[in-house]
Amino acid sequence: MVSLPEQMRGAEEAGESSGLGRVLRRARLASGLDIADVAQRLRIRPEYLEALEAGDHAKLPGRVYAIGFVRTYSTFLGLDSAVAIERFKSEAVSLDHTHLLPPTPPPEGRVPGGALLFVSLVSAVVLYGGWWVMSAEERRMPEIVAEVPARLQQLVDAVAQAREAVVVRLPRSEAAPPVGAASAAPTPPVPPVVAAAPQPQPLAQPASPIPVAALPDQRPADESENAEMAEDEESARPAPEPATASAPAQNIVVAAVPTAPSATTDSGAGRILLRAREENWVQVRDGANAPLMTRVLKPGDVLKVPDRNGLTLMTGNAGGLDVLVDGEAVPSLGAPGQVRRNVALDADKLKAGTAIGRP
Amino acid sequence: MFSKVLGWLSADMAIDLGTANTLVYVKGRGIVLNEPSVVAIANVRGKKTVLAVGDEAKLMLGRTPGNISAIRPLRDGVIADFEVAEEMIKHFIRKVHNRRSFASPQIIVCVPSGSTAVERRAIQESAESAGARRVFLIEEPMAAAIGAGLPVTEPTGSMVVDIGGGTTEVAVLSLGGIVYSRSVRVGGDKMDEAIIAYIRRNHNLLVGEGSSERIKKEIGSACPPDEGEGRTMHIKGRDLMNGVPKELVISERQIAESLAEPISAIIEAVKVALEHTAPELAADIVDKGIVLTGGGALLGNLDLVLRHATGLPVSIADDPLSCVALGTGRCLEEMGTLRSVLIPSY
Repeated sequence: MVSLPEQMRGAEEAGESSGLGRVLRRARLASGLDIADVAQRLRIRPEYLEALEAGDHAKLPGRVYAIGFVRTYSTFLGLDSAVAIERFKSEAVSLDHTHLLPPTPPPEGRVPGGALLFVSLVSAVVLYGGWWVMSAEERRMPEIVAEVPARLQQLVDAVAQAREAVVVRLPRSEAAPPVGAASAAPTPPVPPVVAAAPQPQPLAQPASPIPVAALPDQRPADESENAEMAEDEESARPAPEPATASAPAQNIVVAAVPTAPSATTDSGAGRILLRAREENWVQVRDGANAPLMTRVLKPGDVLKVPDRNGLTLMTGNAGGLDVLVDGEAVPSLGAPGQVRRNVALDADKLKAGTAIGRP
Repeated sequence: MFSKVLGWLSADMAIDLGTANTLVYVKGRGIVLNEPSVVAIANVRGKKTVLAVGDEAKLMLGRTPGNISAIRPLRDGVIADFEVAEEMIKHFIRKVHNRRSFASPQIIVCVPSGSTAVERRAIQESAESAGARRVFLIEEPMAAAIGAGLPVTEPTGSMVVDIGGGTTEVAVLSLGGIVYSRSVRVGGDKMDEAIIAYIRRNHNLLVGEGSSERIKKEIGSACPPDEGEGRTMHIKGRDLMNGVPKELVISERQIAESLAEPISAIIEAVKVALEHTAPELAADIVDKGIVLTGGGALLGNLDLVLRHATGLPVSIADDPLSCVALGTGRCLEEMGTLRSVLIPSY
């Protein structure tokens, strides 16, 4: 047996590469064998033997098998297999160790953890942010509301001025004698009232839009004072004048019954006034039984009924409601807390006490 | 929770619980222990205590007085004596953990592919009661193939023949699983027994297990030499005729003759496995051949005999004795990806 180092030295002396492949080839040629013979004896495929001799490691089936082939081949050729294997390992660095990755079934129907978590986090942040912004706006609302009266103070002043005009004009326009009569009445529990009916075309009426627009906002501030002021005026002023600028500014209560677009173009005020003594739910219906107006009257509120035929009244507190026709009180509609339906808002019937219809 | 804390304090282990030798691979440290699977039990005033385990105990094998018994707890690849096997595993765990008593490692143990569910459960329970926090099992041929470096997870057939002390495992693997496996209870032990029987029959000389193993390692061969008697060896034993110790010379040819039976059993197992291999996998195996692992692979000329019998290229793995332990250890290291090759525990 010729040792492998000697073989290698021989190969180097012969000017050949000192690779293991050359050594194997020289040993095989020295034994007078060809590749086919060796392949037949060792059962190793000839192409693998050729690849070993040529040092073409890429063609070998794998590190374990290649080392096995080297061991078998070198032993067969009478070389030191341990040395040959060491040599092969140092040469075949390209044949790396096997990486074991068992086939795993792809995850089916499972939620993609990272992406889903990210998306849900983002949406949670967006939702919370949105909620926070919205609720912050809500929190600012009271401030806005609180500001309103101050801002509207100018409007209130403007209303006061405008009202003079309205009040002055109202009697002139349609109901001057009755209102005058009411205010001139010996027992006037009614504070001076100006009813400004909202108009379908507010711009057509130059004087009324400002009070109509502004007054509802002013109501909360006004209402509480309303009753007191009414009393004050009763005691302080025996003959209150409706045209006084200061008094109406505080005491005006506008309860407006909307008039139908087809209604007369006057301010809509009729002969009948409804004045609440207690809190009172009222509904005014027209001839076709369609509700014209529904509202809750506070004590002292006065509702001016438009001059239309066939109007009926429904009230939830008949005793708490004073009905005035042409400024004079008519018989009460019922006891306090009594519900009255189909009360005909007809001046003559009210005066006669026959307005209360059958429900 | 508590076991997790213990887990930090202990090193995970892979154990090749072999019939002849037990190898322990510790995660991150490699093979740290390679000792014979022998336990010496001393009977002190009716109470059994472990006297020695491993190398020390092996020296006592067959040389013990009445109050000491040296036991090999594994036979044919499976546990034959549960208590002793448990003691042995416990001893190895402690030895690896430098006698820290509260170690509770995660352990992978390999079992023969032909073992029954009862035998597997026995091995698992022994490891658990020896202090393991969690026990995984892996089939021996799979561990051997991984340890030899075969591309077992590729869609290509690989055939491995693992000749251990108690069993010979023949398996065809592909895609991370065992396509076909066959386990025959023929291995190094059976070869030793065959040698003892041959010498006794032909020379009227009784030799011990240790001596016959030495004979096998030194001059054992799967086929007789081409010409002459081959290598020779002096053996010592007890003459059955005179009853006195005797020494004689035995030759390689004689040992090859004695080993003919176990060798043919191994060849038979390989042939049967090849017969049961699907054609596509058989084509892969024809191309690349069979890989031999285990101590039996070191038997002289075994590859030659197998090549002759099957007509396939036969390669011996690098370091065949450690293949199973290395493969089990690799599963431990790459638990994340190689989890699927383990047997789900019972």
